[in-house]
Amino acid sequence: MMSRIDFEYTITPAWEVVKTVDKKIKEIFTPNNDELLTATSMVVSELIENAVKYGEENGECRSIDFKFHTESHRIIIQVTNPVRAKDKLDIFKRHIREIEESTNPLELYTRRLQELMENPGIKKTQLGLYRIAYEGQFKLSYMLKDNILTVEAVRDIL
Amino acid sequence: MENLHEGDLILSVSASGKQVILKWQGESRSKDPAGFLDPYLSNLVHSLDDNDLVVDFRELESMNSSTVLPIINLIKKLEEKTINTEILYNENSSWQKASFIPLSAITKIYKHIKVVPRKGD
Repeated sequence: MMSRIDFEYTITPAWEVVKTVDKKIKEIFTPNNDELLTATSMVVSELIENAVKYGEENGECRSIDFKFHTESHRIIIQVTNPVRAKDKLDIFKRHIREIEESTNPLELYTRRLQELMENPGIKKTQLGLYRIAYEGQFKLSYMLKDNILTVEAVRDIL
Repeated sequence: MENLHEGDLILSVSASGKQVILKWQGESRSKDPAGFLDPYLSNLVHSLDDNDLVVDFRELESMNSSTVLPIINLIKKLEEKTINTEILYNENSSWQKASFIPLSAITKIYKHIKVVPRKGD
């Protein structure tokens, strides 16, 4: 059973903040389970990295809203940021749909590794969401309104 | 071959007999790790001659998903050059197991690459 944490942070989209937020989470979130802490840290970093990349592609210095919340048996991470690039959004939606429809996200992760192995022209890994589902064991969902994307990652702790 | 120190990531190279050891330490969280890892690792592969290689990830604390691409590029180059390679990961680390077990599965067809779980030092 975990203690309740409510942490909110408004972030300027710069790469350095990924490490800053990760460090902060490791200070305030101290489960008796290394795997859970490592997985949570990874999910936080992957989601903020995505948001920073989207922010840079927007060409404007819009902020990212980050929320970290724990209840007795649940961790909830929310990242909200503007997204304008339709192609990026389409890839994001496809990956979320694949994860939702999959009973084994390891297969999605491994399939993407195979694609990377077989196609030397690929320059973007695009493993982050699969990794969150497979390695992190977090459930992903999103809300999109007026080009503002909120991604939520939730893990239930048994 | 000089060591690489980029952000929180350190790659160090040492030799032991006919074996070259490439050790990864710290954290790989750069935005574009392929930008500096690909040329560094490419130079390493070219400098190996007929030596074997051990790529030791056991002391790597974390890596972002962007780091996977230069690792895959390294594996492909090593296989092409027929360099016998052992890739070591920490069997007691949850994230390393999650990252390297799938990599082990897709490299099973390679003749010169072995992905091996080991105890951390």
